[in-house]
Amino acid sequence: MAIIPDTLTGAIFLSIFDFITCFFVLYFISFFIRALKFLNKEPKSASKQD
Amino acid sequence: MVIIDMFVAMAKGTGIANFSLAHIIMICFGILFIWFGIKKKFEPFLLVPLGIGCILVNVPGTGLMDVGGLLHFNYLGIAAVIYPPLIFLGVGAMTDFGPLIANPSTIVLGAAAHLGIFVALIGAKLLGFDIAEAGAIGIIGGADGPMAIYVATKLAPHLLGPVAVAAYSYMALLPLIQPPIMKALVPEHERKIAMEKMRPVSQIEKIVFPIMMILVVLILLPPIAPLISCLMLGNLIRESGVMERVANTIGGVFLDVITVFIAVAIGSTMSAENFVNMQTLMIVILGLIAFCIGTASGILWARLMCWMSKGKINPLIGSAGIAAVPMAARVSHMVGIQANKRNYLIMHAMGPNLAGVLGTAVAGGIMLTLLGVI
Repeated sequence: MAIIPDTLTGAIFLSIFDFITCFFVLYFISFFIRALKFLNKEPKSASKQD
Repeated sequence: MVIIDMFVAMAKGTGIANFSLAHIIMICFGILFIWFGIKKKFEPFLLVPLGIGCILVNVPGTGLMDVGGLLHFNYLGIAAVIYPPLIFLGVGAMTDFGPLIANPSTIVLGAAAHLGIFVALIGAKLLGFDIAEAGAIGIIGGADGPMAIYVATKLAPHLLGPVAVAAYSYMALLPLIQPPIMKALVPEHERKIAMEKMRPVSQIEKIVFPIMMILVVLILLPPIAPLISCLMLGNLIRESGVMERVANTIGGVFLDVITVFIAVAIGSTMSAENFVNMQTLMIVILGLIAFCIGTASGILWARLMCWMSKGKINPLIGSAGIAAVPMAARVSHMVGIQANKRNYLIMHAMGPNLAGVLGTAVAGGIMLTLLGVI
């Protein structure tokens, strides 16, 4: 069932909510992506061994 | 007398007797698409079959689009949402998500460049479309053909033809649409900014990324499962390094063939009877507005990031935030290299470009949830 009413106000509300949520969801996902770099082996310790 | 009747019957059975001005206009559009594809080389894989589909469906009397006709069977590929996930599978297999992993801060450009979706949605509502139709029209601004088809199929299946045609046509015409907006909004000195080289991304990061994205995105937004899961499966096949032949096939020949099928199917929705009306014209205009506003909002957000980073980000990568992979990134690179011949923006623009795919999926997923499709 649709939560948003089929009116102009509904369309504006949907647009603003969707746009802002889209920002936050992608920003949230970026933290997971940032965490990926911790999967790498530490390059500095490797260079010290060299 | 019988012979004359036979000739009359023959003449009535040809296409000529049933031609109307609308058919001729649509056939001219088909020829125009083919001309753009072959002569201008704008996405020929897309525009040439799209043009052929358009011509085929507008020759009266062939019955190709009637139930049981060849084009009808092909059309079921988009109506039953079979082709869009397959396209995403191929796109995943040919896409290196490294630029996005290396520079995750540009992911927000994938949201910023989607303002056009919402402006078009409100515009469609003002023009008298209902809210589900407005949502399907708005998603054109995401510049993601498979997602536009997917959302339109769920929200307003009767608008699938014009929505898909507008989305794919504008995606193919991005090199004409975006550069004037980019040049108008980004001053010359900012267009010349050369961005720092990105960090290398290891294979383990690239393998974990698709698995992580399937879990995170699908837990947050289950309605977009068919597309995101196929995109990430294709990417995992590529990055695993143990299915090179499969990855090359689904990211190459397979993707090209499905693109031809989907383009013919979209072209076959462009029949004069369904297409030559005010509603289609409004959808096409709203789609163009959505693309232009999306490009502008991405650019302006990237200018803000440029200012905040003290000139480390070239604002031209902002326009790549609308999906259209990899065309939008190529356009950013093309405009960048016109300002500074040593400016190679392609990999930097791929980050926001891939974020745009996720952004369209998220925006579409939220729309489907709030409009009660699931």
